[in-house]
Amino acid sequence: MTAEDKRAEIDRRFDETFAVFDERMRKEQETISQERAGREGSAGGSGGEGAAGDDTEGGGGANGDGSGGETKEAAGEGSDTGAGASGTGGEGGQGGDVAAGSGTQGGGGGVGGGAKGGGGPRDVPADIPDGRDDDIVARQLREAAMKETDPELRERLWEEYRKYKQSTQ
Amino acid sequence: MLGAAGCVVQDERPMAPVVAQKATAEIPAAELLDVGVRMFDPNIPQDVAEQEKRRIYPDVRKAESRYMPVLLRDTLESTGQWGQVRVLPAENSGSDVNIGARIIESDGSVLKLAVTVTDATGRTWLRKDYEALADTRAYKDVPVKPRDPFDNVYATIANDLLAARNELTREQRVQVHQVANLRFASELAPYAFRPYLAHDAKRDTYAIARLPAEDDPVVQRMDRVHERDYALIDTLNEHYTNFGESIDDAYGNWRKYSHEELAAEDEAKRKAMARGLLGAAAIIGGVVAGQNTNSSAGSAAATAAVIGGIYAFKSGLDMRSEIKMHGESLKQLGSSFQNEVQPSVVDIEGRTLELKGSAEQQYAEWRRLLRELYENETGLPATTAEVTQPAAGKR
Repeated sequence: MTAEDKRAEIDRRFDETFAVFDERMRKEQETISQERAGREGSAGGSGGEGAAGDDTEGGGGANGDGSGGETKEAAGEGSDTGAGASGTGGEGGQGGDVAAGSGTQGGGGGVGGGAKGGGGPRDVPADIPDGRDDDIVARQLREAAMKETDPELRERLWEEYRKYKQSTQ
Repeated sequence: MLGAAGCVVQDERPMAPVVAQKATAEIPAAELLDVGVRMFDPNIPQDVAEQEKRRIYPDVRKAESRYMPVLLRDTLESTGQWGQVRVLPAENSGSDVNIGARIIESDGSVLKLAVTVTDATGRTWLRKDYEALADTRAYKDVPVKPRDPFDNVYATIANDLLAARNELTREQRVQVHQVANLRFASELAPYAFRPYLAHDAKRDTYAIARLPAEDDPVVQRMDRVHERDYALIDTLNEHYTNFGESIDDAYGNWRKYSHEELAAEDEAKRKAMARGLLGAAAIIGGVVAGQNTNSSAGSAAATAAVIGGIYAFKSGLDMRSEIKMHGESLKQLGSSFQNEVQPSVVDIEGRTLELKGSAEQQYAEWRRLLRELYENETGLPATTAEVTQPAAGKR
């Protein structure tokens, strides 16, 4: 066999293996394209899911248990049960302004203006004086009450503040 | 090295988008550099306790190590500044420019990557940490798919890469491409191509000793093999793209909810600390006041202060249970997404191995044919020892 013949023989085997390889890649890419088309089809079919933005979509969305809905309902009562939801409620359970919430997340609800909780943490009840003559104890009670987001605890702190202010007058 | 530093892409949230700089003029073909973005290093600690402590979910990290390179590839492609941009298997280093990255932190709120960029000659372009807070606009529920929350990281890397490339002369860019081709060839047929490369083993750099003749029969067949190697990588890229698309929604949700939980946890921690301090101050103040007063008013004040302090303490304790709850939620989120993504990770790993394994048989045959061709053309034995037998798609 001459060198020319040998080169032709090698080229023939190159061509054969290239053809096998190319066919393998072609089939693989075909499979990938089909998978992509299938996924895009199914994605299109389920489009709009979650767009309603209703209460049940919140924190539970991540866990698939729909528990975010409970968070929102509880929020209307100024309860702290937002913490009990398994999702992402954050502070959404407090404050109770359902309308202010994003409607898409348990944690979206505002912390101000609860239906029952007596206002947000920075709100001062109407009967509380302006605090200009507060001593250090009164000031600490006032600040603790103003920062408190738990409505029940906040009210008790204000009550302590009232008692203390009366005792010092 | 062209650049080495840390970079914090830190902004207000939502933040101003960083735009990857696009080409404004056509780049000559000889200067167009191909870029390979290797699978990121998922950086998963071996110790399970450490994984839990750092909230690292192995399959989530494995998914991210394949998902993020696709985003970086797409960003680079969109600029028109480069030749082919491909995602490569982790061990691959066969492109003109090779990008590797280690995931330092990724939790939906923060992304931190340690990025290294080298070229085929062994020159280091970048060694830099990139860190950014999530762009919270990406977490809004909008009809149109928003930017990735960490798009700024990818755009910043793209811009840094461009700046590094612009520091090279035209000749250097051309040489990078030539060296990449010769390194590919010399790994498959070292006896034929190694003499064309000058390798500085100490610095692990490569330069061109001389160029082979274009009409060399071995060179011509090698080019055809190289085309197949590109085809293999392109097919793998299709898999990676598919994988990214398949987990996109679930991964987006995980990051979004994780971000929210982390924010809520931080807030709860801040409050717990503040209330604890306040309570302590009030109790101490009350006790001291009680000791220093004889009046009933003073005594009442002291009592009130102590009670107020106890309430603040109790409130702080309540916050701690909330912190714990957020921690549990994060754990649930991570586990849930991990379970969801695990089959996709196993699938892509399996397919990659299968495809590479299948191609490996072809590569072995091509190595044999190249050797035969070389001996036939030169009349010399192919004596140079093949130090390594690169796997298919590895180069």
